[in-house]
Amino acid sequence: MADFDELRPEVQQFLHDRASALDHDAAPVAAPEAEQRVVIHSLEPSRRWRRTPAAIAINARRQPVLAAAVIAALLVGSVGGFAAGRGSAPSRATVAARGSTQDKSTSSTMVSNGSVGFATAGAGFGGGEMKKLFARTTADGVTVRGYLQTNSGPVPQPMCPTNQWCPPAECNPTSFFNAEVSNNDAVSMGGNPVFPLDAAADNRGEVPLGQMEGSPASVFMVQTNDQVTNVRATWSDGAVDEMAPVDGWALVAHQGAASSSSIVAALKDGSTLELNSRANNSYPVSCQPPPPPPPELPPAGSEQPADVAASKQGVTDAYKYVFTAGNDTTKNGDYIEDVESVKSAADTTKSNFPEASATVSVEVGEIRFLSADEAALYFELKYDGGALFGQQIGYAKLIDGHWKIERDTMCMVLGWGGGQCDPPPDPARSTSAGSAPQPGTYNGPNGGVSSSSSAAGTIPPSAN
Amino acid sequence: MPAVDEPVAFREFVAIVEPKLRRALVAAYGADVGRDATADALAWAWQHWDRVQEMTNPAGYLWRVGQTSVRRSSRRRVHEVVDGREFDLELIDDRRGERQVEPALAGALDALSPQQRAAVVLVHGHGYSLSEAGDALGCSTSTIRNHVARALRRLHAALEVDDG
Repeated sequence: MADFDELRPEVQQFLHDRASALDHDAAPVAAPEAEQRVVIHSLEPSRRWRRTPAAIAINARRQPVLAAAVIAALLVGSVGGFAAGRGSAPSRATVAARGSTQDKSTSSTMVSNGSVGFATAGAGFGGGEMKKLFARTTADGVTVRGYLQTNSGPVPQPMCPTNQWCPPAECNPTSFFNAEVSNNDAVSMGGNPVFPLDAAADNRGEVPLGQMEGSPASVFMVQTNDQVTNVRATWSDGAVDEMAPVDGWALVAHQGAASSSSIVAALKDGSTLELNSRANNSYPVSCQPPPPPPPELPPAGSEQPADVAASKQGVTDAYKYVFTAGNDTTKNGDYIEDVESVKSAADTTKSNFPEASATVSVEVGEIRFLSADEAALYFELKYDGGALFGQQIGYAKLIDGHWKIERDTMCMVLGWGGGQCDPPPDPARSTSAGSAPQPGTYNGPNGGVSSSSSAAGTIPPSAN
Repeated sequence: MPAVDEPVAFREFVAIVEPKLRRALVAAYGADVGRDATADALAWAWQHWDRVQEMTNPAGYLWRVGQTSVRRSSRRRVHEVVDGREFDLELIDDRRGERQVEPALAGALDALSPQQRAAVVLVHGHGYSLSEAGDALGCSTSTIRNHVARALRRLHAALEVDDG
């Protein structure tokens, strides 16, 4: 049998050449690059607790740049996030800005000092015994086992600065769901703290299985309340797996590389709830700090429309039409000022973020009339496949008897996804609020840099 | 209390750990993917500096973090394709500068498991000792020895060497 000591010269030469080539091609990573780098996905090796908000807070000062974002921003990322928007990012994913503090994914990835289910429990947590909830094997041979473990030791509490938002106690849970999964070629573990639910059921993410072993399987953890009777997942190849949740947890799995197309929870009252199968909602919205207060709308003008109610409806209709996926885009000219001048930008944005374009919807808030023929309003776009930027200020104009979205507002929105208006919009009327990028700052759907760097997100309307 | 000397300590840590971490990850996954994973792993180390400082073998742990990064990015690429969007799939192709001693060797090396590939390149490409390679990959010397032996067996097989 050949031993490593019996190295053939040609193999030695080949390996030496390979090593030299790799050294040449992969430049060293300097410390400042690491300090500034933002990672958008969980990197914690499995088999560990995810870090709780308390632990996140403790480590806050070590995040690059402004710890200034304070604990509130730390704990989430959806507020402080710059933009995800990568086609690769999970739906509705949000990442922290380069140089900001904490990203949402971190909340689902960080690990506490202790562990659950392992002998290495460290300071702060004491791993309790795991209660077996269920074990089953899917029709295609993926075995899933669910365990619930409750810490026996003290749980660190969040360190929240005075007068700052602090997560509710249930966001620092003492119980943890463990998923142990296997197929013929691989075994893996995952888990999620027993966080409060945002709805009757939440997809708590995927448990990686078999990717490196060449035998990939898709496994989803779903947390439910006691109203859910069944969780059913369907994959793109037609495979279906389902189970009744046990103590609020279900694991649905399928052998193969197919991506999931839907996860649906059935409730006792006969209704169903579709979960986003590609979003990792491992950290509940209720545990995230509230968004910053929106900027103030400009003051109302002295002159108001003759029929304020009808005008408000006209403004709302314009925003609803343009920012609702599926509407006939050829009629957008009825609702957008100078639509021809934004078509190119709209095409670019739509191309960069097709999923967001295909799922966009809008909520219109307060409308204030600056004059009889101009309005300012709050609006918020929702969509999949891009970072959400929260409430924004938009403008509308009465043109030829029809309320239309002002070009400046359209350019602001399109700019989030890379669409550049020519000529550029009036900065005073196209300044994004919150974490949304400003026009001209777009870096491309992949951020223009590495896969883990910050990138601009989008909300593409269907303005074609 | 903020530790003002933390960046200094971290930079010293990077200076020591980065070369072997990067070499291991690029050997396993190619220059682009491996370097990206190295940067991710070191970013993770910075964000978890308290924990990293207490580890007995931080390089080995970061190797696992880097592997997770690679897995995540691989899965992201799958999703991108599903979404109907086009992205570059980074293939392991770092053969520039190699003398074409035996074309089958490159394919045989790529066919190894990431651990085997990293082990054999570290030991016989970079000249690491088994112990040093074990530190980099977070495993024992005997495990590295096995990885290297198995890797060489397959490389020799590519040369149609009788290793029996």
